[in-house]
Amino acid sequence: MGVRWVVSLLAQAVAVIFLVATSSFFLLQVIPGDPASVVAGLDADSATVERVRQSMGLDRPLHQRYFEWISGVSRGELGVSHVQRRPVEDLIRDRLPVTIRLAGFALLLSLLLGLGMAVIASAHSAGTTLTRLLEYGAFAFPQFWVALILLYFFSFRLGWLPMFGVEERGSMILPAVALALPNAAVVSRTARASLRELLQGNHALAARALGIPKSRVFLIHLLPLAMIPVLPVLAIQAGYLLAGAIVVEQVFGLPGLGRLTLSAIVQRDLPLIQGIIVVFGLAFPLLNASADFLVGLLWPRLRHGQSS
Amino acid sequence: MTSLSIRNLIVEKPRRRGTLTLVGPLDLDLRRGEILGLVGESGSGKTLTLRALAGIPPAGLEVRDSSGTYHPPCRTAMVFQDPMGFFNPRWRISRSLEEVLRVVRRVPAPVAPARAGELLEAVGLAREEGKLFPFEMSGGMVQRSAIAMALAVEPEVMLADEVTSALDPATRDRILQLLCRVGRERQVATIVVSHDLPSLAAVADRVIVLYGGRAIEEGSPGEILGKPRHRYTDLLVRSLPGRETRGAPLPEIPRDPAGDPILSSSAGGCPFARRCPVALARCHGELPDWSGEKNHRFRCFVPVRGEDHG
Repeated sequence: MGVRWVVSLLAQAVAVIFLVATSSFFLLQVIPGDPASVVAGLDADSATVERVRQSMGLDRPLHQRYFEWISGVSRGELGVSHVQRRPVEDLIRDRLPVTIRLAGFALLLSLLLGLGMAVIASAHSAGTTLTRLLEYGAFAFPQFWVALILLYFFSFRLGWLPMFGVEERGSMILPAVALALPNAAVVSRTARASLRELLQGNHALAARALGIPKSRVFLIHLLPLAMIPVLPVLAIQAGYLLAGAIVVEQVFGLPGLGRLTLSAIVQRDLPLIQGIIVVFGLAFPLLNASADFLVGLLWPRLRHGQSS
Repeated sequence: MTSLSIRNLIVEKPRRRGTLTLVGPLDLDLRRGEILGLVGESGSGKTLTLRALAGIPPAGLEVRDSSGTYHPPCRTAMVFQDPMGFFNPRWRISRSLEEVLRVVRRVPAPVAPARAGELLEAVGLAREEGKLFPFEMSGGMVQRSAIAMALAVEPEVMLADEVTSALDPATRDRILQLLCRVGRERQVATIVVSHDLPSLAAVADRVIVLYGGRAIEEGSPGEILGKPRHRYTDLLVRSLPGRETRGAPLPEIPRDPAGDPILSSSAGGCPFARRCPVALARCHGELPDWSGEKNHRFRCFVPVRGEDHG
């Protein structure tokens, strides 16, 4: 992992942005709904709609608009929102920090919860049953429902945590928990499978045969090894956190990218939707690269560039 | 001086109806610095015996001896067949050694690196080679490191399970000799398990032949190889490469119609009875007691007689 790694990472990111920018542009052309009539208003006559269409540049040929869009993306310009009449990149920049904080917190939480569950499951057979139930629950219950239940108990009934917005302390806790639960289940399943294999493996046996205590073998020797398959899975899951943020931010009233996305969809704000898709798309190569980097830290064989 | 003395070691699997005895009853006596070879085919219970002795039996099995539930009576260390899997793949060899020294032997942290270096030199590696990861080493080097790990424990009994079968033939003998040399030098009783009788016989002081979880013959390597008495040992020795003398065909050990010999021995008879070409009716019902002399004994109703060994 050196210069070559960084270069290939950058090339990957550029390729992903290009593909995402292109596909988002064409996909939004074929979905039904006319942005010009939405902007002009429901009761506008056809002449007004046509004028609006011209002012939005939507009357020009498709290829011309596509090349404008792509060259804009390459300069970091994602167009102008039809509805808010502000540059898309500015709108995203305002909202991004809240979502990054939320997703980062949720990611950390899902890792801790998932690993904790896996450790409990591996330590005791009753723990396995409990963990399985928790996993199914975390998968099965819809996120908005979990979010509402959390709100009801911890904010409304107990009053421990704020109900709405980002101003008060601890306002990120409940949204992050709601967002983290399905991911925690995925982490737990992966870590559980990997721990089970390691526990039956030769290294665990050898360490115990030499007299290293069971708990130390488990925590110091095996747990870091069990993380290796978890990290890439977590990186892929982290992408879905952004999708989950759309729902969770709505329930908790967080002014993040998720709520921006929802309102952009409702208002048929095509430039804004396109811009958000590009930003979301960029998250995947970045997250995968961080996972690769962490796996390299945990697994010297990869770092030393040897293959078996 | 006795280093290990165990009576009636039994490994069994509790089942819904009764228990299945997988190994034993087995008596083991080892002097300090003695090398005991444990030989047998796959499924004869060699590895199971070692894991039981080390106190790490496979899950679901119970280990007993004459005093009840078995616990290792002294400090044991075990070396395995798969040298790569032995080590923590995240750590350099020296770190793994220091881990054992510090956690098991309570060696203070500042002293541990020097001690790890001494151990590496004791097994014929350079101190600097401790900086390597297991995957950067050859199979022989890793197996040497594994022996160093076992020595780090300062065991009274060292258990070596097929330590050479993953290595190439040239390295194989050197590793086996190294293992036995450090065992004798440090006065550690060593049990070496193998299915390779000739190379075991070359290093061991004494050999026990295991079949279906039972010891069926015991003696000096020369006696076992030269004058096997039990019918199984006889067929085993005669089927060794290079033994097909005087144009006689290589004797084949008949297949067991009932499958697992452990089931036969569980029924109370000789574990080899079903496959034995000369078995008597009583061979199926009872296991004969030890006969022969102290330095070469066997359990067989129809032993091979001396004049058969021409």
